[in-house]
Amino acid sequence: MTPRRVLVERRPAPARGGTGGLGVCAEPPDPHRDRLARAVAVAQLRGALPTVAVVALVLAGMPVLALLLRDPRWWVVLSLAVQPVWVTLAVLQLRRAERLER
Amino acid sequence: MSVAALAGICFVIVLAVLVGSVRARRYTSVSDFYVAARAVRPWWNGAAISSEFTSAAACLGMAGLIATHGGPMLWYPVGAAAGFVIVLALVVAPLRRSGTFTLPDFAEWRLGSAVLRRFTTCWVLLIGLTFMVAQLHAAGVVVRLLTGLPPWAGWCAVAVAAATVALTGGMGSITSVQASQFWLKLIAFAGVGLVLWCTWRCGLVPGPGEVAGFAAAYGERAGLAGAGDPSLPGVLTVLLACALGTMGLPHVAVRVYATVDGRGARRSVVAAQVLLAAFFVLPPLYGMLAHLHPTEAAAEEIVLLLPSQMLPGVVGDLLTGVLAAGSFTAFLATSCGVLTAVSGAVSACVARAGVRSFRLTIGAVTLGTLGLTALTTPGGSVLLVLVGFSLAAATFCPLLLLGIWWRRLTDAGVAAGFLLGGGLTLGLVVAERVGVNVGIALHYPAPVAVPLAFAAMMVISLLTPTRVPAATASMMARMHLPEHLAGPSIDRSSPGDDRPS
Repeated sequence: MTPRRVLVERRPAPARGGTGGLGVCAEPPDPHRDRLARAVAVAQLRGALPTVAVVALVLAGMPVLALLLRDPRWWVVLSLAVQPVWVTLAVLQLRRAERLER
Repeated sequence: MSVAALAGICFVIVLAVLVGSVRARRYTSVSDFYVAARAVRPWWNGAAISSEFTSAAACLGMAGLIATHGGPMLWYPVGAAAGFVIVLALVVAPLRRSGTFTLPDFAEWRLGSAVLRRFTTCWVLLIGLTFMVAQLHAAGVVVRLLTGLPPWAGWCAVAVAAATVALTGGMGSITSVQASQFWLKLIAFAGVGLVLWCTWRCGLVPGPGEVAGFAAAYGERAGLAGAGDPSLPGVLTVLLACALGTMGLPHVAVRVYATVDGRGARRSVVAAQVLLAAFFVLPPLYGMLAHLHPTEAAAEEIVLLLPSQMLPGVVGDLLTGVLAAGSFTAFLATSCGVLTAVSGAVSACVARAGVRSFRLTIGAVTLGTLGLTALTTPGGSVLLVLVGFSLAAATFCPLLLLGIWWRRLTDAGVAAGFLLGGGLTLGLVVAERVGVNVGIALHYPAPVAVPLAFAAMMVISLLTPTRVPAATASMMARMHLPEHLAGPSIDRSSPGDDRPS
């Protein structure tokens, strides 16, 4: 089934001065929702930072590690071997993020 | 060589225009036009992201650099793919859930400042133009090399085809064109690469059987903004710019907005990661083969000259034609994506957003790009694209990361960060071009400009606490709460929201 499209003649104007716009900012503050949002954000950030740390470590470590490998074939193998590492990290991160939202 | 190449190029351009206009519908809705009604499925969207990300630089430039500069350039494809892991971990779902349309839209929504929107639009335009000019120059180089026609024939072919696709159908058609182009590009480059590799392995061509002199230690300093610099600090500079710059590219961000919801946005980034991992096997393969069969040519030309050099005769000509077709799909995919993303941002800034102003802006941006291409000389697509990455890393990356995760960000802080980070990167690139020596930072802008941009945004925001938008708490809730927890009061303009569940 093709999803029904929303017909908007003009793009909604974004928020100005904290009111109106995109239908969110005019809401009265809701302490319960705010607490929930804070909890979700902290949990997601805790889940994301290890992934970012591994990326930083691999990115910085790999060219340095290559200095130890004199054989050019190992350079090529190393550079190709990192791509599956990115895919694995992405899949693990996706799973963790979706689990946190359940 | 020229007949096969010309046929390949014409085939790709006609195919793109056909696929783009067959799906063209009457777009009455802005959301339909800008973000394909936010209804693109993850794998389809992932293919489109990979397609516009693997531009001239990824298809031709990287392999050329690997061939000429050796081993250190092998890390470029690795860095380019790493950016998406960071995007997935920190940016994608909250950005989609914000419900905005473009990066300047996000800046205005999050910080409540129309001036900031105009200011950030200038940066979107600047980053977009570096990408577009790189594609057009590469098209000019390919056309001149393979067909003998003047370079402007290549520029015009890409610019006119990209504008036609964008004008006829907006984001919906562009998504189909780009997703189909990704597969075309992958099959063309992987097929020819496989044939050439088998030829080399079977010893059918003269040349050394082993790779030698490839991984000699990191070399001397050269290049632009760290790009093309085979020294270790140069490589690390490029890796940093790639990893953080990916999230700030306007054409990548607009793809995030085209999905159904935050979950779909995450899944499309994972799909793109898988497809990019497959594609990024190719630059090292071509780079190594070209390193074994050296020629005196520009970085973009090396890959295209390889088939006729290894297999002279009809087979080589045919393979060159296939590669020419593959390269043009790359130029078209990136140009279409950047053109739509930039026009979406600029048109909403100069006029009230509407389909008419969007179309006029597409025309204006296309003409502007053609003018800039005519005024500049081709200096290597990778260098130009990496300047775009460095700019994005020093401007939109801090805006997105702090805007999504930090409640005390203010518009004054963002403006200061953009001016310092973006201005410094731009200043260093210009200084390097004109030959002014301003110290070690000159050659490695990203490690200096990115932390400074973050620091400026945070310090100025803390100094201007009264400018924190009053609705920050509800904006944070909107970005971070998943759709099913957010409650009915949040409208994210997605077709998913009004479908019966």
